Amino acid sequence: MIHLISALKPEARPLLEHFDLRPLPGSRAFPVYQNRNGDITLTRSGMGKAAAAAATKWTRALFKADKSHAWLNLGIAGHASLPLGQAALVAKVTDAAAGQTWFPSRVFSAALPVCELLTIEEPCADYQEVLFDMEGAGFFSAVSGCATTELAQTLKVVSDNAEHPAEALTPTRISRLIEGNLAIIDELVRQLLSLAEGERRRLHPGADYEALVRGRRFTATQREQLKTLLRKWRALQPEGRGATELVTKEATGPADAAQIIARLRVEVENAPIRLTPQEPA
Amino acid sequence: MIEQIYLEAAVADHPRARAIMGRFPAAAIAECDRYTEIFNRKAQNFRLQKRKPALILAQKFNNHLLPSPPEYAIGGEQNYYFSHMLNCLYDCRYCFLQGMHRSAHYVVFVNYEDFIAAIEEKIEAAGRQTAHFFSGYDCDSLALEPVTHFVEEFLPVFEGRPRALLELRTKSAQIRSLLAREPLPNCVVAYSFTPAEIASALERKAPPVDKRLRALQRLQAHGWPVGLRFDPLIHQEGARSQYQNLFAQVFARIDAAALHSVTLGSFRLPKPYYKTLSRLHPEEALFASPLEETDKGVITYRKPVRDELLSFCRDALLSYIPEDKFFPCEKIA
Repeated sequence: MIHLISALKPEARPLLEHFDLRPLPGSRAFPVYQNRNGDITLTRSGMGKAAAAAATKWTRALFKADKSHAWLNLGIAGHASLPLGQAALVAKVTDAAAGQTWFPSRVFSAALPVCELLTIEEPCADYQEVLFDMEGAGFFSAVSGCATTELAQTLKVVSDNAEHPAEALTPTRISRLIEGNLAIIDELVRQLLSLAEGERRRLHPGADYEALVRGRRFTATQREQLKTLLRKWRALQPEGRGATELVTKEATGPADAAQIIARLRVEVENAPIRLTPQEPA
Repeated sequence: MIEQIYLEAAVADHPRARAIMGRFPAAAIAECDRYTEIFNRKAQNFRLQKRKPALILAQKFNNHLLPSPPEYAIGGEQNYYFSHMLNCLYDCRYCFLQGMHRSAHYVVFVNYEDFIAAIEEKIEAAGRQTAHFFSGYDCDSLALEPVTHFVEEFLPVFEGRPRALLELRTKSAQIRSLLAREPLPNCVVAYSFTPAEIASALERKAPPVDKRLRALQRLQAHGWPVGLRFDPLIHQEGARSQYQNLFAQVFARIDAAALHSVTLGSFRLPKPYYKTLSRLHPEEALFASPLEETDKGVITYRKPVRDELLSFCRDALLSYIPEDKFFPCEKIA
């Protein structure tokens, strides 16, 4: 699952259309949108660092986001020399007021410039060779508690520079700047979604676990034991016999938690260790 | 290869940092105050970072040398290890680095001069005793040589100092700099091996066994002292015959009489590292192996499995080499 955080309506509008995001009823603090698959959301934060932080926290709570969720702060920014409409990724974010820094780790491919981002409190016409915005630091301060540095990213589209200051910006112009980068944004969202899905599969105990605990009483310790045994079971059975089938089929009656754990333990103990050669690159 | 470089502001003008950055003209560069702002921070995912690690150029201020545990000695009276680099180009599933660090980024400490001064000081202080220095603990000694020039810079320290010895521990075939110079009798190039069936499953991105063996042969033919490191020993179905084949393959191609040393040790990890690794790679059969915790808090194979593989490999190795070249990392039953 990926959560997009954008500040302004004209930034969000092209994204809502492109990803077919619909308003989520019941989200009162911030407008939140989601696609039909349920794997892409967008929250419109409003302007400024505090708003970005609050919207990110709101989204995190709304979707009970864990470390398998990806996050992308999308919006416009100023830069001294990058051309208008240029999309750029960010390797370092600095909160100009507080001096705090974040270093998102880029683990995906993207042929885009990579810049530093300075988050400021007020619009500024003193352009430098870094990106300027008003939300990035707020987003990172809120997301760093729940996401890994690889799955929390920022993409900025240059909206103003030393030759074309921000005064000339209109809502229509902002939307066009985002629209002009939809292919890049789409690719980035797909890559982050793919990484997030890999993490979801790694972090979640899986369908076998859900099936086995459903309708049975497991203590907290037994649940952890079951997760560990299922992890080992799956690792030893790369071709995949189902653990649920094994455990329930051979039980004479409805197997309870202790019987399931004992049965799986025997299976894991007796399984031969066969390391799987990696796929050729 | 490297798309992102983080640079400590204090080494921005260090000639070695500038030379390394020059190797990656297309990389994005971001400055930081200390490498720890990026490396090993909370909420990092080693497995994800390993897809595209960044390079961090930093300075090491203290602890340039640390005493190495006695069980890792290969005959030296004083033993130290040092790490000019943290993390490895390769992705070996059993490697403790993945459990030790939250980050997969490569850190290169560019102030070699401080490491060299510390080594020289220890050599002087050792007097008549032999002092051994191990370089491949937190990284592969040779894998990034074309970028770091580590070997090129450190070897001269050992010239004319016969009581000191440098071990380069590696799986790399980057041996050009070693072949381009006269060998040093007190520098051992030690290659780590597992059987090809195990290497192809667990040693991702590392040169295949045959390529390592070819590098080892060339180094030995050039006159370099070489060592063999069968550590960790990995258990799986058919492991005994796989190790037997590996030993036969190795000793058919190298001169056993000219070998410096052979070490042997079981797969083992401190418990917290094991927990981290098994969570990072839940699909890996290695972590579903028959393991137990020792009284020292180390996760290793259960005693019967461990003893059986260790004693089998010891006996097999001692049919090729004399006992005085054999240095097991643990007692073998």
